[in-house]
Amino acid sequence: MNNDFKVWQCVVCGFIYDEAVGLPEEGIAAGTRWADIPADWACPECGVAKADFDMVAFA
Amino acid sequence: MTTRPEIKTYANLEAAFAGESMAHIKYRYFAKLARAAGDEETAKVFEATADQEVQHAFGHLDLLYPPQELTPAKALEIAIAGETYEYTEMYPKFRETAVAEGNAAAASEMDEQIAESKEHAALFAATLAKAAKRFAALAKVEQRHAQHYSDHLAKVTQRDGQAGERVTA
Repeated sequence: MNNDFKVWQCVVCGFIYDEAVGLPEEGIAAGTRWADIPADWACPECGVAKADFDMVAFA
Repeated sequence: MTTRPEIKTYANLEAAFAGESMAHIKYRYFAKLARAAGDEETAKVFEATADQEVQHAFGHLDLLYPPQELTPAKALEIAIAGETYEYTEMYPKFRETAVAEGNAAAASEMDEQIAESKEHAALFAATLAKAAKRFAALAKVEQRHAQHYSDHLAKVTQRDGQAGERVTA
């Protein structure tokens, strides 16, 4: 079990991108790192840019 | 700019449209919170009302932007003006204010006159910081919307121009 997957959150709508889960419905496979998501990708819920996501710290 | 006469009822229609639109979104938000709290029944009550508010808002828009006067190209122009205002004026100013108020709050943190607890002050500062971040992010989104509308308007204008040529040919 790889525990170093990170979670990112949209600063506007709270949409969560979890590297472990990916976004299969958008063709982003589970395990895809945040760094490997294209820079022009935007939040599927509200359109906010990738640059405006924050990393979420998990306990 | 339109040369719409200064008639109070137009301002009232704008206000009624704003009110119904806000009610719609607010009820959808309340529905989301109710559903998250496990209260599906209340969520449905809010959603049913929210759907009706949309129709009320459409009714006001029908008078503000009469369909017979509104071509897709004109609608795109109105949308571009709205988005451009949001990303060039509204969100940059809002962000500036949030940053300034955040700085002021941080500066007065040690001020004994502030009766708020430390916890409350921290929450306040976090809200301002989050708001500033959101305004900045949204300015970029609205800029993209404006660009997207502009690109589409160019397409529509070209299409309609070609159609006009065919008719006159």
